[in-house]
Amino acid sequence: MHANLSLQQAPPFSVPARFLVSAPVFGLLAALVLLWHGPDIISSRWNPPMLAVTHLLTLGFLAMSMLGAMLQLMPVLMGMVIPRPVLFSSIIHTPLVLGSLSLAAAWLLQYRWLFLVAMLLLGFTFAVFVMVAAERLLRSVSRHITRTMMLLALLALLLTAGLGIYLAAGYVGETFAVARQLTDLHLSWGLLGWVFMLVMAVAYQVIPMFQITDDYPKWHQRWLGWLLFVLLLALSLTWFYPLAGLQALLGVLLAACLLVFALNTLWLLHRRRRTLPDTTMKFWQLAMASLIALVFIRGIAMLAGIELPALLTGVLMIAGFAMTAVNGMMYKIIPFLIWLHLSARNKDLRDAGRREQQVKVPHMRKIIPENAGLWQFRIHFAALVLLALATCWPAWFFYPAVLLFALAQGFLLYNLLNAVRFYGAKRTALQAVL
Amino acid sequence: MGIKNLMAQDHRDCDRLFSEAENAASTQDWEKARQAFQQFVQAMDRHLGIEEQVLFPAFEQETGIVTGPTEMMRMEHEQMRALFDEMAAALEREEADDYLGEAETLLILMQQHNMKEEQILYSIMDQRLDADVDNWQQKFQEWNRA
Repeated sequence: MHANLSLQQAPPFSVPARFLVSAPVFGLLAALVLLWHGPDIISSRWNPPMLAVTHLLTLGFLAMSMLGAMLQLMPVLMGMVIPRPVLFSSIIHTPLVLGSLSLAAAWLLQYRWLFLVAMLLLGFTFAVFVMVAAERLLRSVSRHITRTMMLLALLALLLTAGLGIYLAAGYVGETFAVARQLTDLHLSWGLLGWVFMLVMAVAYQVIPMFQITDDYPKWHQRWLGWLLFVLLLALSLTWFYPLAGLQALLGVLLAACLLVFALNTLWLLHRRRRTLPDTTMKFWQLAMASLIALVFIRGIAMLAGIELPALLTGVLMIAGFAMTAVNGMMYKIIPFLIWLHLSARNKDLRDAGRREQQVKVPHMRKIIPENAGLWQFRIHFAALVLLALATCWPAWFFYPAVLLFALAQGFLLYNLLNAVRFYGAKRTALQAVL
Repeated sequence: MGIKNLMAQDHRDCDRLFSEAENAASTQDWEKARQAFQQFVQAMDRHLGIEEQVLFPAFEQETGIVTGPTEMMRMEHEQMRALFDEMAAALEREEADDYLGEAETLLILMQQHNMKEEQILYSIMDQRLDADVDNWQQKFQEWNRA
């Protein structure tokens, strides 16, 4: 029964690291495309270069870091190790990088065949990942709600990818019209069913544990994920039976899910037992504030009958909520893993009876200094405010916003690469004596 | 109530002591930090000792798995104890950044360790070992006296 049970600590460092370090590279690429095209790009979300930017962020930054984090977290949270982790992560990482690049290039260069390449690469990546991860999750002995929610999130990822491939097919052929109505379903499943669901599932575990707060209420944990999933299913059915009233109602209920999660998280953090100002916690707070802003702005616009700038919602959801939460998590994951792997090397030395040759393993604040993370947070925060303003007044805010966003992504990349280089140097020192 | 609930509650109690020490160190209240840290290490020593000498042997005997999860947990206990030493040294030097850095490292190590225990190991213990919590509490107290 427990033949597969392993509480092994972690896959090799390169497995999650390659995904997490790739993410801000795609953030920088998105900024470059924005700068190249100038303020006109944000007039519509249907602009091909804007679609390229959106997917550089959702695939290149978000899917990239979230798949990497799942590979790292599943052994810890579920006790399930993925066999041959280095090989598996290459099989996922390489086509994800190439697929994201070819999809963006397809829109930027308007080459039809590149859409086909992207469809094949990304379809392969997500199908293989979902299959392997779902099989592992189904066999886990863990009965925590996180397991169920990760499975729901994977299902949503598969639906998002399927809809995305169907939509991309519209660009490949002459006769195949792009079905724009389906785009809303594609992005609802992607941003709510996959991204938001997974962030919730992870938050249920990491917020109480790392910030030392109370648990999320039982009803919240048990029902919110399922409610979200059922609402998305209902929303999908309205595509076949379009009832405007029902669609509006579902929209309100989905917004309520976002709001409940955001407010509950802020409340827990407000009452946390750690009084230490922690950078990752600031990222969590900003992510939740973005969700709340998103719900309120859309709510007010709906009641007052105002049409919102096309990209404001996207900025708040993708950059404001999702990228912020992931960015904060990176500052815990990367330094801890480096510490963990260096400690394991030292243990090898101790076991070999060569205690005196051990290297002092630096603590996490020596790997990424607290101030480096804090300043990157401040720049990211400022970039978000300016990006939101730029969707309303592009002539004024576009260039400062994009430049600051590029700076925040560059700074994140610098912090992560510094940590990886530090690990490389220490590991070489340890290998030399082994 | 089972082993899982009992031991998970003990995790939460240790967490509270951990944050008291961390809070004091972050405001450089060294006297209070030393006191809270000492209480934290005492509580942890008791928790880790109960696992290593009462619960893990019972699990190993019942399942016959000796080189599996319990071996991994014992190794992580060793890593935690090494970090207690680093934290104590930083307290001695009254170096806030070092203490907070070592403490954060311990926090993450300890919490991912707790997750594995609470979601996997204790769950299996609840299925396979004596379900009566009173019996366990009595065993823990006997261990404590010895």
